[in-house]
Amino acid sequence: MQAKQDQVKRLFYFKTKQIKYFNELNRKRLLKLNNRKHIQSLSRAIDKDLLSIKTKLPGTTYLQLQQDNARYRDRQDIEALLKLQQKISSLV
Amino acid sequence: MNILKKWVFNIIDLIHSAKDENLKWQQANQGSQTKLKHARVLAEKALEAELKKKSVQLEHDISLLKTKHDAELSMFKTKCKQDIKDYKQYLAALDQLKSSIQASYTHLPEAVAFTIHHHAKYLLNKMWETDDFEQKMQHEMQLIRFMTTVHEDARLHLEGVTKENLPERTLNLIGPQ
Repeated sequence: MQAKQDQVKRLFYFKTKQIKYFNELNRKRLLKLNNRKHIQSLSRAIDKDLLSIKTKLPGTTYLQLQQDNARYRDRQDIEALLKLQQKISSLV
Repeated sequence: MNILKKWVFNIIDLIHSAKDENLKWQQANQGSQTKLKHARVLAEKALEAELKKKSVQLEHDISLLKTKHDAELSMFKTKCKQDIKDYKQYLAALDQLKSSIQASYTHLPEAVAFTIHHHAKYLLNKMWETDDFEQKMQHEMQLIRFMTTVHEDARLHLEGVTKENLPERTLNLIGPQ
């Protein structure tokens, strides 16, 4: 009987942990979606900036920067995207 | 031969007398023995009843514990659902914050708007992820202060009070993360 009581307590503990875990998973999913949305927006802005100076850049540089933008966006690398944006701003 | 016979008879007498004694003792103590047996049966029954009572009590306790746990889990689930709802609303408020600053500073580079929004999200997550109540309150205050500054910068710029190209007061709040 005591063992049964312990089992009930253990079950409660694990169910609480499980709820917490799925809750955190849901929150992270929301955060990830939001991050992705804003990274897309930043990447689009970089593309636009890049396009505006396309004529002033050598073809290979333009292509390279465009590829970097796509790569960083796919990698969800915020720091690299911000650095790329700075780099593009300083090119003109 | 006679001695052997006598010896055998003596033994038989001894056995008979022992049997008699035993019979007499049984007769004399019959009452006590019956009482003893009865008492033993009663004690066994009492023990059985006691064990059954304890077992029923434990079953009852377990059932109560299960009910308590179910209620607590249900409350916890509701709290978690509310937490997610709140978090979603916070994210929406931060998106709104970004739109607001972009609407005021029409030429604000996307990277700056992104950085402001990202910093606000960083503060939100810091608040969300800490378990310490006091720290949570501190982070919440930090986030509210930051959001207020962004809105204030946006308002002042929109009203033409400031002529700066960037929301300087907001950017001053963004340190190294």
